[in-house]
Amino acid sequence: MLVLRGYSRLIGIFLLTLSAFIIVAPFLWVALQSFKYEIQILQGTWFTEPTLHNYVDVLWSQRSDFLKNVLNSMIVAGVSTICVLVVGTLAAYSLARLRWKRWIAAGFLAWTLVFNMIPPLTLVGPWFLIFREIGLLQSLFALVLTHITLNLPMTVWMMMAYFNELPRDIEEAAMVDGCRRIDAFWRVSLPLVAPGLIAAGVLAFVFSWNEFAVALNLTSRATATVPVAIAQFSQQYEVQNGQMAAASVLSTIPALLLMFFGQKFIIQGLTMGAVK
Amino acid sequence: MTHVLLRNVEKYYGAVHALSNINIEIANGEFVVLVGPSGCGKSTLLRMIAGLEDISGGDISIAGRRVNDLEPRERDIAMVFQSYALYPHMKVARNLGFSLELKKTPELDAQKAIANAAKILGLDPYLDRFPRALSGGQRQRVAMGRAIVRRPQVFLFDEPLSNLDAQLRVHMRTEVRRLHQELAATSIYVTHDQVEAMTMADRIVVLEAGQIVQTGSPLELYERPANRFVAEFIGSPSINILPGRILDTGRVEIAGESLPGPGPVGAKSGAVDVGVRPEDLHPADDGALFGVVSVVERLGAETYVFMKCADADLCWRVPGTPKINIGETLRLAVNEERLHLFRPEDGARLN
Repeated sequence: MLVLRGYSRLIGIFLLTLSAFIIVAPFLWVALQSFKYEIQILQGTWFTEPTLHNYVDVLWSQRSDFLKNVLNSMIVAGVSTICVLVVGTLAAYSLARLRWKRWIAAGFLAWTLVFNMIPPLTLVGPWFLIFREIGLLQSLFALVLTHITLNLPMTVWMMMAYFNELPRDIEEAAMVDGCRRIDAFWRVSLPLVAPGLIAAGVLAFVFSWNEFAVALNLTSRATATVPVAIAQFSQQYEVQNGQMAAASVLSTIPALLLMFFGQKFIIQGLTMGAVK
Repeated sequence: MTHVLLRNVEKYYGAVHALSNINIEIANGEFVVLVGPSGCGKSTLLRMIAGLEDISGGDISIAGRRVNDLEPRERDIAMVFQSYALYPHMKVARNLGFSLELKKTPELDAQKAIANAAKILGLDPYLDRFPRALSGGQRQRVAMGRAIVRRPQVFLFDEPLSNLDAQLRVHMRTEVRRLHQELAATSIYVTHDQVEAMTMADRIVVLEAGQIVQTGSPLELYERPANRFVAEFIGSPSINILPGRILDTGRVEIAGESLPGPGPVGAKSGAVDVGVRPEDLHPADDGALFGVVSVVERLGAETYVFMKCADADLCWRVPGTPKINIGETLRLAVNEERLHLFRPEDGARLN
C-alpha cells in the first residue's frame, strides 16, 4: 500500500477531498432542492425550512405515476438481471471450460463487445422498428429484452474471469468423486463463483435501473421507468424542479442500497485476475 | 491377477504424439509409480486412466472392464491431486463424504466411513473446519481421506507431495506407503521425484518423451538400467558417465587405462559411455581414475567428493567423514562387476 508523508500527504488528502466533492456535490445539491418549495428553488434561496411537500406530491399526487414507474423499473431491472445472470453465467462457463475452437470463442466475445462499443442510441432506432413490427412496442417485455442485450456482454466477461480463476482441479475432483459435469457446475463451481454472481447482478441491476435512452423511446406513459418519469417532470410549459429533485433522490435508493451491500464483490470482480 | 491393464495406449494432441504404445499391467494391490522428467506424459497417462483426458488409441481396463468410454464417475477410481483440489466451500467432513453424498449412501454408513477415514489420517479434530483453515499437510490428508472414504478399485496420485515442504514430504511418503499397506489397494502414483519413486514403489515405470523406457522394481532399475537415461534419472547423486573405449580384446578402457575386468564384454569395439555409480569407486594406488578434488559435501553419514577426471565430473560417495581436502589429488579404481556400458549414440545398454 502506498503511504504518503508530509506535504504529499496533505496534497493527497486535498485531491481526495476535491474528487469526492466533485462527485458528491451535484447530488447533494439536488437533494437540497428536493426539500424546498418551487418558488424558493427559482429564487435560488440556499437554506430554507425543509419541507416534504415534493416527496408527498411525487409519491401520492393524482398527476404523478411515480409508484407505478418504480414498479415498472423493478420489473424491468429484476427480470433482465435474472435473465442476464442465467444466460451470462452459462455462456461464461461454456467459454471458460468447454473446449471451443479458439476462433469461435474469440468471435463470440468480440461480438458481445460490439454492443458495448457502439452507443445504445444507434440501436434504439432499429429496435423501435422491430418491436413495432412484432407488436411489442411500449411493452415492458421489449424493454427487458433490450436491457438483456446491453447487459449480457459485461456479465459474460465478468463471469468468465471468475470461472478462469477457479482451478479446474476442483471440478475434476468432483467429477472423479461422482459428479456429472452439470453436478460439478451446480454443486461445486457455482457456489464458488457466488461473489461474482452478486457483483455481476448488482452491476446489471443498477445499469438497467438507470438506463434512460432506450427506455425513453420504447415505453409509453403506462410502462415508463423511473428515469423516464423523472425526465417528464420537465415539460414544455412547466418544469417541476422540486418534484424532479425528490424523484431523483428516491430513485437512487435501490441502487445505493445494492451498491452498499455489493461493493466488496464488485471491486473484487472488476480487478479479478489483475494481480495474483 | 491383473487389475489395471493398459494396452497400446496412445495420446495425440493435434499432431503432437504425447504418448505412444503404452503397455502396463498392474496387479491387484500393487503400488506402481510412473516417473519421468517434466513433460514426459506421466500426468497425462494418469488423467487418461482417470477419464479426465480422452484416449486417442488403445484400451484401458480396470478390474476387467474396458473403461475407454466411461465417465470418470463410472470408473470407480479415486484421485489425489497435486493441488489437493478440496472443495473450499465445504467443511472437512463434507469434503470427505462428498462422494458418498453423491452416491446417496445412507447417512449412518457415510458417517461411519468418514469417521473411519478421519481416524486413519488423524483428522478427527479438524472435521468441522474449512479447508482454508488447515495447513498444507492437513489439506493433503483431507485429499487422501476423500479417496479412502470411497474404497475405490484404484487409487490415483498425481504428484500429491510436491507442494509440501521437504520435511513433511519425507514424512508423508512413509504415511502414504503405510496407508497402502493397510488398505492393500491398487495404486498408481505419478511423480518426477526419483527418490519418491524408489522409496514407495513396488514397481517403477520410467517414461521419457511419451514412451516407456523401462519397467521394474526399484532395485532392478538401479542395478540394471536399460539405458543411459534411466541410469542418470535413478539414483542420487547421479551416476557418473565417463567416456571410454571397448578395445579389440573386448576389454574396457577409461581415460586411456585398460581395466583388468570385467572380461571381454559381448560388444563391438569402439567408443562407449561407461556408467559408474558414486558408491562403486574406491581409492587404489593403481586406479584408472585420477583427478583433483573440487568440492566436498559432508552429510554426516556419508560424504560426496566431486572431482574432475578424464574431462568428466566425477562424484564419489564415501561412507562417514573421511579427511579429504579440496585441491587434493586422488586416484580411484572402479568396482568392475558393477560397470554399466552404454552406446554413445542412443544410450542403449551394452552389457
